[in-house]
Amino acid sequence: MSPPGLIRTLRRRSWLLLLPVFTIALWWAQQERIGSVDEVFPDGTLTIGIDPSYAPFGSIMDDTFIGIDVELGKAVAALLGLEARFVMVNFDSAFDAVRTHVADVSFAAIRAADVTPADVSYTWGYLNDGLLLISDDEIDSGWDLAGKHVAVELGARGHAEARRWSRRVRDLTIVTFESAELALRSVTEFVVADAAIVDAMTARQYADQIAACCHADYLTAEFYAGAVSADRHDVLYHVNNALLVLLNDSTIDRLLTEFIGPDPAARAP
Amino acid sequence: MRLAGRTWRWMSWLNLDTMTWCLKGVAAVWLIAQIAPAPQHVLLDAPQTVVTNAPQLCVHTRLIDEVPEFRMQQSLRAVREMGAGTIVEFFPWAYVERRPGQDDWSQPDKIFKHARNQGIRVIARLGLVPEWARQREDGTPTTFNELPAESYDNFAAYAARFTARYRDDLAAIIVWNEPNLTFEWGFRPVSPVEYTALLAATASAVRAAAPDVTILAGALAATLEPVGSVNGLEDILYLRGMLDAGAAAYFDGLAVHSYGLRSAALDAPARDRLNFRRVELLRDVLDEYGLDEMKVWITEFGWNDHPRWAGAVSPAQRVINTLDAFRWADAQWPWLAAQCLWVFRYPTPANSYPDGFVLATTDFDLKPLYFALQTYATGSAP
Repeated sequence: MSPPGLIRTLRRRSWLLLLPVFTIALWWAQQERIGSVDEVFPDGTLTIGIDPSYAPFGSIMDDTFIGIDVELGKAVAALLGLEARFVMVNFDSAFDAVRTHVADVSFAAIRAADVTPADVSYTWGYLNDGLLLISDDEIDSGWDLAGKHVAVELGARGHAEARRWSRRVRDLTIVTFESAELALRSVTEFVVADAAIVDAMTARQYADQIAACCHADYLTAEFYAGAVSADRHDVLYHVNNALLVLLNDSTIDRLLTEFIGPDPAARAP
Repeated sequence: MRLAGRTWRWMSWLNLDTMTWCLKGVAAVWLIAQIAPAPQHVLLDAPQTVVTNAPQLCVHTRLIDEVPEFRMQQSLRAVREMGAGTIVEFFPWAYVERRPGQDDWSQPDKIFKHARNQGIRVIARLGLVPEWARQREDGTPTTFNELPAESYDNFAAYAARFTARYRDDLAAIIVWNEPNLTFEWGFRPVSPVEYTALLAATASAVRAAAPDVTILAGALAATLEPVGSVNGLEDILYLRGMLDAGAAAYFDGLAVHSYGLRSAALDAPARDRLNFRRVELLRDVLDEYGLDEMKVWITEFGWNDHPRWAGAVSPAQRVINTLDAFRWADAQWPWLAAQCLWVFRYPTPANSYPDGFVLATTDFDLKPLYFALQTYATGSAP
C-alpha cells in the first residue's frame, strides 16, 4: 500500500485509533480502588473469627477470649484505629466465617496450605511452624547429617522430612520416638541422637534447653496466617499493612515468646 | 446485471492483499494451536503383580473424581508398591447413568484399566442416586442418597450392568454405604427392612448377570444411636434387623466400618464403645444367626492424626495403632476377608480434619505411615 493510500485508509478508519484509548479507559475503570480504613470499616470495628478450642492460640477464661490470636486481633485493630470484635468460629468454619462476611478476618491458628481454598485469601504469616533441625555445632545443615542419628516423632512431619534427607545424604539413621518432646530431649538431655527434627511449636517450648547445648535452624517454612474473603481486597490490604508493622516492630515476636516461647533459631548458640 | 454487480463486488474483495491476510490468519491459528498443550497419553506399565506378605491389606482410594488419568495410575502404582492388592473405590450411579438408559463408563473404565495393569482387585462401592431416579411426585427436594422403593429395580439394573462389565477385576461389590445412618439413607428414618428389600432386588439382578461376584451388605457405620434416633441406628441392632428381615439370602459377606477414633487398636470391644475391635460384636451377631462361614470385610477403618480434631490421635499413635490393628486381625480374625484403610489420597485437600486420614497428600507426598505399612507388607521400604 502506497503512503497516500495508507493515509486515506487511516482517515477512513480513524475511529480505530480510539480503540486502544477505550481499552485503557475500560481497564482503568475496572481497577479496584482501595478505600481508607474509615471507608472499609464504616462502623469502626474489625470483626475477628477466633477458635477458642485451640490453646495457646485461642481459649476462653472467665467468659473472655484469650490467646495469641486474640492478642494479635486486638493489636491489628488498634493499629487500624478500630475496635476489635470477636466472633467464635471453629476450625471447620474459620473460612466460612469470612466467606459469608460474618467476620472480616479469621485468626484461628490456620496453617496456610499450599493450595489456597476457593474464595479465601491468606494474610501475611505471623508464625513459622516449620521444621527445625536441632543439633550441636558439628551439624550446620541437613547436608551434615550423613552418618548421623536423627531423632523424630514417629509418623510426624519431622519423620517425613528425615526420610527426605535420608535419600539425600548417606547413612542417615532415623530414630523414632512417641512424641516430639522425647525426640528433642534425646538430643538436649539424653544425648542418644546427634540431631532432632521437630516442629517449631515444640522447639519454642524447649528454647532454653536448646540454647544451652545446641543450635536450631529452620529446614522448612510453614506459616500460620489469617484468612480473609477473596472478594475483600480492601480488608486484606489494611490487615496486611497492620501485620507488617507488627512483624517489623517485634510485637508479634513478643506475643509468641509470651505464649509459647522464644524462637530457638533466632537465638545465638 | 444486478447479479453481475454483486459478483463483481465480492470479487473485488479477493485481491492479493485480502488473500495474504487470510493466509496470515490461518498461519496464526495454526501456530497458536501448536502452543496449546498436547493431550496427555498415559502409557500403561508392563503388567504388574502385587508382592505382599499381607494379603488382607487394602486401601480405600478416591479415584472417581480424579481428572488427570496419570494421577490414577500414580495412585495405583503407589498402592501396589505399598503391598496392597485390593482397593475400595466408589462408583456413583449418578455419574454413570445421568440420563435413564444412557451409561457413560469412561471414568470407571480408566480406573479398572489401571487397577488391572497394577495387579490390583477392586471392591466397588455402589450408590449415589441420579436426579431422575429420586424425583418425588410433589416436587419436594431430595438428597443424592435418597432411593425411593420404586427405583430399587433401576439401581439393581445399574449394579447388574456394572458387575457384568467389570466382573473379572472385582473382588466384591458393596450395596450402598452406611445405610444405618440417616444422612446416608437420604435423611429418611433408617430401616433395615427397606434396606433388605434393596439388597434383595440388587442381589437378584447381579447374580443373574455375574453369578461369581461377591455381594457385600452394608457397609455398616459404627454408631451407638438408639432406636428412634434422628441420626441413625446402632450397627448391632441394624444387622439383627436385616437378618430378621431375611437379608442373609442376599449377601455373601458383611462390609463394616471400624474406625479407632481415640482408642488403642487392642482395646476390648463393648456394646457402649466405638473402637476398632467393635467388629467382633458384629461377628458374634452373624454367628448367632448361623452364618459361621460368612466373611467380614472391613471396608473403612483407620486413625486420624489431624491436630485440630477431637477424634484424632498423635501421629505416632496413629502409626502404632494401625500396625497393631493389622497384626491383631492377622493373628485373631480368620473370618476377615479384607482390611481397608481410609484413605489413600484425596484428589484435592479437604483443608480440614479429614486430611488427617490420608496416606499420601494430594501432591503425592507419602506419609511415614505409608512406609510403615510397606515395611509391614513387603518387609522393606525405600
